[in-house]
Amino acid sequence: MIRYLLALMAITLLWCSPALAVEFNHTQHLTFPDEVKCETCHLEDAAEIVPAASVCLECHDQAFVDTVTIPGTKTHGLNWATNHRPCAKNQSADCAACHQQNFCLDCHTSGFADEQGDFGNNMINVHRGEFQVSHPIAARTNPQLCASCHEPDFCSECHARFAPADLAVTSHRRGWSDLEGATGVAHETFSTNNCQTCHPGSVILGGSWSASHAREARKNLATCQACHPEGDICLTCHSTKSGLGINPHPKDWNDIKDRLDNASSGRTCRKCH
Amino acid sequence: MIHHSLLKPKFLKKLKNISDRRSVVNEETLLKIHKIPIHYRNSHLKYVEYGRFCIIKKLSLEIIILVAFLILSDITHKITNNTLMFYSSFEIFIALGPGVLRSTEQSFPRKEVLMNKWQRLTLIHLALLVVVGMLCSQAVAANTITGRASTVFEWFDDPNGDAATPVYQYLQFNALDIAGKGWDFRGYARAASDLSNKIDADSRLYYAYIQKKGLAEGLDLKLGRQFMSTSAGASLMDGISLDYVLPFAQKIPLSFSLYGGGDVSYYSNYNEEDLIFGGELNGKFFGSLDAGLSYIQRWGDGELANEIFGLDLDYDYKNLLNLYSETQYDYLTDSISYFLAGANYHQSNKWSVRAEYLYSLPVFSSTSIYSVFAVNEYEEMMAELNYRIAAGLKAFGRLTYEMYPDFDNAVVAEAGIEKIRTDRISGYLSGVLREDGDGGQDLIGAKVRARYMINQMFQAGVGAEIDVLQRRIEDDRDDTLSSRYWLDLTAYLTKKVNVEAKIERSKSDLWNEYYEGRVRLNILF
Repeated sequence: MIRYLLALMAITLLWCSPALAVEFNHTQHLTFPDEVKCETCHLEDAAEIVPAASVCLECHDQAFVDTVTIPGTKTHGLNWATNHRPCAKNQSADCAACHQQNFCLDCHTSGFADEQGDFGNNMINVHRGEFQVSHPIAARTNPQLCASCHEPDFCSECHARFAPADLAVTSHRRGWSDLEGATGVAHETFSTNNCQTCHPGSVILGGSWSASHAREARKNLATCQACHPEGDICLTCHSTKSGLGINPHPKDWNDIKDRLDNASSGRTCRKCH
Repeated sequence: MIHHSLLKPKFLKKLKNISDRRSVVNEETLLKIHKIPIHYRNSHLKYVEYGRFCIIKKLSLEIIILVAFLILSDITHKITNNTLMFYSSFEIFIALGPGVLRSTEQSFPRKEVLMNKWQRLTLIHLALLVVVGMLCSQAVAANTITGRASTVFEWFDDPNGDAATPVYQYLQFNALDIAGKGWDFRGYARAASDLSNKIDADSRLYYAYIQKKGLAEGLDLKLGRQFMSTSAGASLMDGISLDYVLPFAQKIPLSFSLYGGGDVSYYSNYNEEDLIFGGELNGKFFGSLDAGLSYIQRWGDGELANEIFGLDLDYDYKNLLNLYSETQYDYLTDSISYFLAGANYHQSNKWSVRAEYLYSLPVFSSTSIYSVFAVNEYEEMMAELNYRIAAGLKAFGRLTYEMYPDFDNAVVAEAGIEKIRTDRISGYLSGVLREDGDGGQDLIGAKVRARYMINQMFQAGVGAEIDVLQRRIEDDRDDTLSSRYWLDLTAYLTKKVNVEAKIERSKSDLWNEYYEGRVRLNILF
């Protein structure tokens, strides 16, 4: 029985030993005098942000070091390049203690992402592979993703030269101008003055193209801006001045229109009204 | 049709092999993009006239930048007695000189020769860089001067098969504790020119600011072009920021920041009517809860473009669990435009688990027609496992679930392993698989890289990235193969000086292969 108890105690002690160990206290180390620089522990050529145990031996005995546990860090993981945003925005970590602003701007600029970075095309990089081929996927996800580094005309410089049929967007592969109405005549032959003749009251019958176009536009409106920076093409149908007069506003428009109107001094409203 | 020199060669290169599908270039669109004033648009002769006008301005710009950097480099040479810095100024002369000369051969307007307002502002800042450099060197020598000078030479083919050869000279410069008064100066800029005059190669001022910590008790100051980031938004800003820790911070740790100035978010169209103002209040509560409330107001073209409120929370539970969130409220559209909530469990230094939820809406300027259109939200859930196999050897796996209101959702699975160099070998291997329920937009890809330290002086590497993508939405019959291969070599001449070189081949089903080369000389001081 005693053997069993001893064995149980040994197992329990072993299992609890991490909790009994002294946990490394980084905050305490930060209170040391100024002469003790960060580089004392965080060596210049170190492979990882957590110093090796051998560094601790510069100041502590081996016996003490053996009792210390080092917790995982909440920053600087393998995917830190894509995870760092909330930490960079809040004050929980002092990025500037180690990094200067060029560290941010070497990636967060509209130039080549690796212009001053690693020549090895870092493993974690939003610009994967031949990105001019695969970028539509990223562009359709988080609508704020591209805009965090790129200016709107970064897209339009290239997209202005693309034929609509080259785009992945369904509604653009079969253009509105090619659609034939009930009369069998393609829309390209009509002007905006003719819209209400066939669509009195701005009613569209069928409307699979317009529905598809609307879904795609709502999915990520920022991608529309890539090719149509001023949105002039939108006003062909979404204007009260001429054309079809389709209302493009969101459901809660009446609640927010005054704020936008005041902010732009009515400039945006006057484009359509 | 419009003259080819008005087109962007870098992009035409990508398109030249799909001419059967290329759209007709819309002249009016191009003129708009290149911002050529209306009164110059009427005839070819007026284009030429405008071209000459621009050339004179470009000459002025390049000469001033050249002189500025020469002065700065020469001065820092005096300070540090570092011959490498003098060499750096010589490099700039080599980089810019031929570009200036070749500009005179140009007889047509191109975007890079347009003298915009932002360029004038850049010059002002470069002048500031020089002035502060002089201050640092002669009257009030700084206690510490550090930085990096990098000369980058690139080469790639333009659409006509001619080689474009841009050269960039980067300078990152820090003068700390100037005259022992606690003032710091930090600057980072590049001068650029294309030796063959084929592409845009823009000179840029990334930042240049002076900083004083403890200007008054608890008050820090930054003045100049600087990068600022809060949960309400981030920007490059020409202006001032003040950080103040409240005097009773020992009891209630609170601080606030105020900032304002020119908004350089959109660098190429930056003008004096682009402004940004805001502030942030931060506090630490219950020992480990960091909370921040921020506000940003942006003005564009003289109108109020955005008003955003931000809230960030970060809570650490016993060094085991980190909970965090970030929220943006767009006042003008009365909507939550961004929300991120996450948890990171990191008890062990061997492994950690992270999970996040993201909600995002686009934010347009109030002056954009897009601000009045209906939009759908984008939502995403992500779970990630990081594992430390050994010192310098780590692996990860990540699963992302993308949610679209009007389309099928998508699942993205990624995994990778990376070896940081601890002896001779480094590299990584990763893969991605994206399954889109709509049929198209599936992706399968892999990245691999290996690097070997040959001896103390040379390190060589090779890498490849291959993707197969279904580009079309709702169409799974268009697998597009694209690839990128590269070789690179680094020579460590001294501990402070190294040269990196890389040659890369890219190819896809959309266009033929093309090559790109790059050489970079880095000097740390």
